[in-house]
Amino acid sequence: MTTTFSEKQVSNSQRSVLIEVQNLSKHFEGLKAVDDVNFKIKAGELIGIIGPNGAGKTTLFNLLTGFLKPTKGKLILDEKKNIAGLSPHKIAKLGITRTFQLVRPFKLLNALENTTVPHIPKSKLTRSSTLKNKATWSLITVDLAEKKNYPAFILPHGDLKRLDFARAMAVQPRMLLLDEPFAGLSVEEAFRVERVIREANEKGMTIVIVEHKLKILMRLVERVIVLHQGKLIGEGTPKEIANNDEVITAYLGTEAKDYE
Amino acid sequence: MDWYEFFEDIWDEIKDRGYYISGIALLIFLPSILGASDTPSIPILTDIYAIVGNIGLFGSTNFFLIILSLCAIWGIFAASWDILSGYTGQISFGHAIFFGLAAYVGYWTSTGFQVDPLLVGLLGTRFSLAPAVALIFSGFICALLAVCIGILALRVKGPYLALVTLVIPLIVASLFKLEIFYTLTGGDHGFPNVPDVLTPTGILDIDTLNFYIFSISVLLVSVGIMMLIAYSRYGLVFQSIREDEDAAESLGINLAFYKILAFAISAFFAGIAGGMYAQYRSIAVPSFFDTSFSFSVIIMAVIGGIGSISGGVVGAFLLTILIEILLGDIFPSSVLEGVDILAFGLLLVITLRYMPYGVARAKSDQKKAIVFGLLFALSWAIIPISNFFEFLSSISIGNIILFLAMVLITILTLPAIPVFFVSEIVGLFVLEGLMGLSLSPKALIKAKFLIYCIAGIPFAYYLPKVFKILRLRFWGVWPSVGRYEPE
Ligand SMILES: Nc1ncnc2c1ncn2[C@@H]1O[C@H](COP(=O)(O)OP(=O)(O)O)[C@@H](O)[C@H]1O
Ligand SMILES: [Mg+2]
Repeated sequence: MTTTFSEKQVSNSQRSVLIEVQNLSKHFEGLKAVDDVNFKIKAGELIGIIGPNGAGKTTLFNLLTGFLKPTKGKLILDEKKNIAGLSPHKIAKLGITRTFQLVRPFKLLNALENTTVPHIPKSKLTRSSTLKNKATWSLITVDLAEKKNYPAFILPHGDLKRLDFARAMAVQPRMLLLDEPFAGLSVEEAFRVERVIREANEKGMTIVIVEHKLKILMRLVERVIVLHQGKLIGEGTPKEIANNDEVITAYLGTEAKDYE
Repeated sequence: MDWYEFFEDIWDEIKDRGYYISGIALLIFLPSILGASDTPSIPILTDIYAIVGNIGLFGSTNFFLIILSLCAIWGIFAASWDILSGYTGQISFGHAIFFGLAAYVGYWTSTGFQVDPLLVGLLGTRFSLAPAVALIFSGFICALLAVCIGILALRVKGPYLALVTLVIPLIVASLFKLEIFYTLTGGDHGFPNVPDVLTPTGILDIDTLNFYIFSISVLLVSVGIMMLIAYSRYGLVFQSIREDEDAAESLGINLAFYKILAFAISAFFAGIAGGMYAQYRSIAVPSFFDTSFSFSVIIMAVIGGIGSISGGVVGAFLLTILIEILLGDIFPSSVLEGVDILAFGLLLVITLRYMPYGVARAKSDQKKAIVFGLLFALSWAIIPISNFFEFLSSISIGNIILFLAMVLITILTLPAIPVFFVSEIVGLFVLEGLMGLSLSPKALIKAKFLIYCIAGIPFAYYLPKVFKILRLRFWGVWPSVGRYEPE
């Protein structure tokens, strides 16, 4: 693991900027859920976003994926196109997709059908058997293949987390936003999800993770962004963040114990 | 290749679809079984029906066929509602808009327009479509209207479609009744003499047998197409939208497109049903837009089972037969309107309580109970008729089979004798004593059949369970056949 990590750091400077967030704000009737946030995400990065509850992390994801329209600001994709305010399915087609904080499977569909749906809009003309193979492959990557005929509503929470992940992965996005992928998972399940995330990132997918379980997050990501009351208050490697005074007072110092 | 396994697989597939296959076969062979003229008779079944039909439960053959055509029309309509509301989760409270519109469009196009002088060379002086073509054309017009409504109501999230569909039929109906549109819409009374597929002039009475064949073919084809759509990748996308819109959209599904697509498909088939209904009744009137049509179709689909195209068809057949054949003769027409709403409501509550996914998706013991309960009711209705066993005076295969079936059912239902008498006494007391109906002999047999159904279905449900408990207590597992089923 450590070797791939350092290799990545070497090549970091050569990577192109995938998305640039400029002065992004979202106000809910006076509440500044996201307030003038600026940062860049490079292609192939694995980034963590942390912050106390209500910091605006989910709102940031909603803005990035088009579920909310920003009050102000731009989202520049590939240093050319402003995607702020596009509808979610268009943004998904441009290569950005997400999972939700609470699992949201298609309950009455079985696991295989769940992972078939994301393949459909991209491949209108492919044969059904190909579609099925692709969907099965998506399940294999998260070790759910043997449960492919189970309707989603009977699967346990840990399986649903991975099913959601597999479904989002099946879109083959360039950037994947994961909203608390480890929440509610046992140590073992979390370990499986961690491995799957790492594998996807090693294949070149940009991944952004919002997470409260800091131990896992800090050993997984290469860069951390800290939000507090809608503002970006810190940015850096996990080590730098752990030593940043402002972050510690805002978040780690007061609440870290709750999340460990 | 292992042939045994191969056949076992095929047999499993057939068994899974047993109800579909037997239902379709029954619909296709029904005219022959009923002994309609001009149809080849089926040796044993025709004989049996000749005896069973004698008790007058189904009315004359022609009457029964025409009611089944009506069932087919409602079946298409209910299935079309299901593909929008059951599959895609976009509830329509006003599907009658397409029902009524198609009736009028079918009338306009099949009776023809005076052609503009400039176009006479191209189209002749009067332009009209054959009724069958007019049917499909009105389907497309309905789909077009659905696209327009969809662009207004389905592009934004929220229950707008339900609201819009609730009011649009009312508006259109009152527009159609306006004096100023009289030449176009026929005002309050609409149009009589809608040409139908078999009698394009629209003046002769329709030929029941051929209309039955026509409507059953349309039912099979359109429900077949809807099922293909439902099981295709489009159906999968529709279902994903029903399950979770946001999740579907985050996966790149264009919600508005697929919702409008589902609405248009649904409207197309609802239009076909509406056009056929106008041909069936030979009229196109503003009451086709009535809310009662919209709600009946919802209740049929819910009772049959939403989210499974076949469910709508099952619900349509059950309810239409119940209303038209049974209730229609038991109750005088003055109270029929109220009674059928009551029956719909009761059935809806009972279905939702015991079979929340509808009849088509009920547990297999419940489905069996319904089928056997109906058979029990039928035989209970037949057996007490005094001259019934006369058929034994002539010996043929059909008679012998019928006799054996009767013996079997009698043995099976011996424990039900108290149920049978109590249900008869209580049921007739309610109908004759409390509701003050005086039943004619024809109505009496139907009333009895209905009462036996009410008693027979629960009986058929509990009989095997009681039997199993007794067997396990007094006998244990079967000696060599059958598996041990630990409870
Ligand atoms: N749709 C909404 N309408 C009004 N307020 C909202 C909405 N979504 C989020 N908020 C508010 O914005 C703030 C940030 O929320 P959120 O992004 O969910 O925080 P978190 O960082 O815990 O994910 C919270 O105070 C929340 O109450
Ligand atoms: Mg959140």
